Amino acid sequence: MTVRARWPVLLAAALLLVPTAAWAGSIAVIVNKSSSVEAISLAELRRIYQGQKTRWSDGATIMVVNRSAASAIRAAFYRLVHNADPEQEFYQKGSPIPFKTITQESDIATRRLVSRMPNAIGYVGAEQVDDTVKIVAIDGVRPAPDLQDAGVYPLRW
Amino acid sequence: MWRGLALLAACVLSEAIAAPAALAELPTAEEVAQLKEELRHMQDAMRQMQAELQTLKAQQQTPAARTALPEPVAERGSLTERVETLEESVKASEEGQDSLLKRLDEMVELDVYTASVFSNLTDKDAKFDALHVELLADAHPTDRLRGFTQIRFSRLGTIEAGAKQGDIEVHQAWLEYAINDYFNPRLGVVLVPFGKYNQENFDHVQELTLRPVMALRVVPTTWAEPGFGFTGHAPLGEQLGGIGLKDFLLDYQLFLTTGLSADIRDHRGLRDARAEYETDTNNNKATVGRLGIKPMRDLEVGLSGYLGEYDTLGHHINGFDVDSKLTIGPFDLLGEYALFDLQEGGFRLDNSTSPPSITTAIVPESLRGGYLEAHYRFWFDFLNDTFLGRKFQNPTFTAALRYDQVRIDDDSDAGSGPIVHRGWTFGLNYRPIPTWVLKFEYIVNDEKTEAINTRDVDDRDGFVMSMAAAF
Repeated sequence: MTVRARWPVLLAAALLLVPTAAWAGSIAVIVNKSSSVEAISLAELRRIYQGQKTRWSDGATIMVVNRSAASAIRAAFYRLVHNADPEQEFYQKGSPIPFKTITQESDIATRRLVSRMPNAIGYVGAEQVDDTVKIVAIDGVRPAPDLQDAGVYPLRW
Repeated sequence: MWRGLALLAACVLSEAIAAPAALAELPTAEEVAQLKEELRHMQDAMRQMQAELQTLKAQQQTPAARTALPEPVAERGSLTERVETLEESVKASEEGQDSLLKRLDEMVELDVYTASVFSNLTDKDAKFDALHVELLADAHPTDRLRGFTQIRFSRLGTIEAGAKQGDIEVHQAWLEYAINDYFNPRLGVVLVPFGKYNQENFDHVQELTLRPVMALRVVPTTWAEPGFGFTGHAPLGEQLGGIGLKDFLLDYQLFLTTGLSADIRDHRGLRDARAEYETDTNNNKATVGRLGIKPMRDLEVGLSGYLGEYDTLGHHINGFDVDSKLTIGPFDLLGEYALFDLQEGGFRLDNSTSPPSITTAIVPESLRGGYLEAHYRFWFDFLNDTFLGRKFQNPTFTAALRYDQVRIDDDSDAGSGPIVHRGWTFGLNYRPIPTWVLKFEYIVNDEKTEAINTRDVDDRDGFVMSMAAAF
């Protein structure tokens, strides 16, 4: 028991952590693979998540997928994008109803939903992105592993 | 013999190497007991497996058993079927979720917000005021069509003059055809886009209970009128990217509305001049709009204008409003200043008679007023384990301070001078969640010459508490 008995667990954890560590701290903004959107600006992303920009360029209504307010990634996303707390609500002029988004409980659930909804946008940890969704460049920069995006990618936390 | 010795040596060496680690993490008595229990279970399982093995061997020797499908294969088949069934269930569930999301997007969203106030002002009885419940419906039958309704049930009672002193009022009821982000026509009863406060007057959004006097008399909040116009916004910073100010954003609202009437009184300002929804007493439409300028993420400046006539003789009433909000970390600094200038020679109309009658009173020359307000959001971590913090993600206290002033230049009582009102409000509120707020505040009012005879403010000091929520 102890060290010898635990080595397979430690090895498995290390193997899991290697890719995570390589991507650590990058939030990837994802859209459906069928979307024509390749890049947006940080200001545009902010307007989308505040309910000010509600349509893609083809006129389709944007389906905004968010994470629950308790999640660490939402706290980071709100700080980087809105300079706000994760529970911050956003109102459109003249409306007492806060702008509402679809909340998902995990990166995997977010990715699966975005992969199924053609006009959806969401955000996940960059290490969670697979080929079912498409990463959108923010201010012309895409998240990259091994800190290659440090200092240039705006959604690094 | 040698192999046995070698094995023994290897075991001794192995234990010697493992010893430091074992010493470093000696198992506790509980862990030893747990391990023993696990060992006993494993031994039981092994005995059971051996028994099953014996049974299987015995069955293999019978002719019937040799022709039967082996049990493990049957189990594998069953497992595969179960996995396939589960995958189908997950797929069906996801399709159901997608369908539900699409339907929800197209359905009417119903919300409610409510506010109740307790006030204890000097020279006035302390009272509870079940201020209002508002029903909100927001419908998107398709991507391009939107309908929005806000109906206020004031004081939760029967209609005006009823036993509960209540009334029912439509604050917004409009339809919008969404063309794109820049240009969206809207028709119906709209919040008049004049100043920031009128657009954001909702109790659960505001940090203080009582409105600034400016927002009662100069900009008669809640100010809604029937009209037609356009809304939109232009992200200039994104379009002119690379020259700095990436967040530069313009948003606008421009409407043609029924317009203010001539029921303009010295002490109530424009409060009674708000248009009715069916009749237009001066048969003249007003043009009103607001341009919002956001040069950067946390700064907004708004410019509003109003052009219209207040009576049937063509006397003008023109207004201008500037508002601003700056956020720096936990601090907000906001303010608004509004001015209405009335062409001389007009007489006040009394809308309270039917039909409205022209009086001999002269309308004021001008109405102006503004406020400055500061907020500071904070929280004490030691409250996290108390009833104020437990079960909430991000509860917040907000300290608020407001100074407001109004001046009404009235001609109808020449000799007494203009009405000048100044007030200070000191507030503290608690938000367990962003859309639920409990507010406490103390107001100090100072008035020169005539009393501003209003229901809410008067020339009184005192304590006010309220609770407001949207859900």
